[in-house]
Amino acid sequence: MKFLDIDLDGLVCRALLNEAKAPHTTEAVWKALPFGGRAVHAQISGDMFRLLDPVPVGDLELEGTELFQHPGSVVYYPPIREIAFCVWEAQFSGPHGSYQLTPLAEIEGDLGEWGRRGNDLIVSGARPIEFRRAQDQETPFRYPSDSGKRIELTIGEVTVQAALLEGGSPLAVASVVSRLPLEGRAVNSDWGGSMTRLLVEGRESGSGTSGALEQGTTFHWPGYVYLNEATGGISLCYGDASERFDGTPARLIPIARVQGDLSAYQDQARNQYINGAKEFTCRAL
Amino acid sequence: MRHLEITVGKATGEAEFISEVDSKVIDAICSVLPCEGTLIPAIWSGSLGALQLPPGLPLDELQASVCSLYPGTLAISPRTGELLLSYGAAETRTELGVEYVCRIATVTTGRGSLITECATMHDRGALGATIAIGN
Repeated sequence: MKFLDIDLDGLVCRALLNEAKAPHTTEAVWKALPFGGRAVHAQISGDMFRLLDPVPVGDLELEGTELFQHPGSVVYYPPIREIAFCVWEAQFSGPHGSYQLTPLAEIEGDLGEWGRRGNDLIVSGARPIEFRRAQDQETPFRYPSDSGKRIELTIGEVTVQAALLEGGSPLAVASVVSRLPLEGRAVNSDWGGSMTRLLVEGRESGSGTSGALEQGTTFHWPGYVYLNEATGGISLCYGDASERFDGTPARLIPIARVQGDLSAYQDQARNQYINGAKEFTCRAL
Repeated sequence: MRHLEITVGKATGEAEFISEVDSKVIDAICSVLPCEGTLIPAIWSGSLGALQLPPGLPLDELQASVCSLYPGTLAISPRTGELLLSYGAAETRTELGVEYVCRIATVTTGRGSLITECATMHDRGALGATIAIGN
């Protein structure tokens, strides 16, 4: 494992290079360290900022391509040798739409003040940013953690715990908790990509309502459990995903976030659309 | 008139080529059939199954191009060389957005049982499928 320290105008975060998905890009960046330049807001990509100066690496191909980002995603776009950072709801875009990218690294923990400072670049203007090999290469990657009450979700062979996001979505969380425990069959979404839908007796586990709960979002991030108010359905996002229903983008309300490493579930879920449904249980702890 | 014979899981049906597709394309499709393989759900496109056709299908341009497919419609993706069969609300998409494909045929016999069988993929997983030229 190789960690970077990314110093944004005096605030430092640590990021883990994504060697598994982007071995050539991460090796080139690692060899080029330290380097730096000016950080500016991405302006047409949502809550995202970027390194204005070209990254001092040679010509690289796209690797392990991904289209969607989540807070903490550090991505690389080879045609213009650009590094960009997703700090909240963002999708790397140009005048003609969004682009596929190399997933370069993942910032650990919650972004906090570092992320806010990055998003504030649209007001503050350019600020210095530096990339260097992290002083701490030993401490394991720190996953984001939440203090909310826990639920336990078992899908097939994998069990994860998720923290309820009562602070952000109290109405939706209460709606889901009132249904627990749940058991049924977990299937892959047929519209949303890397999204698992939790069905009870072949249907969504609850009834849809309209406008009674929080607004929701069309940005769907790995590790988040969502409620679709319109259908009553509960889903778990495990990778590149953008949930839709009958082709229409779906607003989903985040109700919980998986704590810790999701990779065991991702490994199982990637082939679930071919292998078929898995039994699931969901209960409050 | 040539038509397609379709088997998905336990269901069988027939499909007729649509008039918008010219005979050269139909010849090309027929040249790679019969095809036996696995119908898999398309995770970005709704109620759509995809069957990989053998290589060699010379489809380098879109004919009868569509992205919305009514249930019981057969299409071919020039990009992937897959035969696509819709069984509900479907729009051919990738994570990058809408992708146009060539509509080639419509299921005329056994439509209900094929659609019902295909819809079980989400629970049972991929299904064995065969596409052949009918007499």
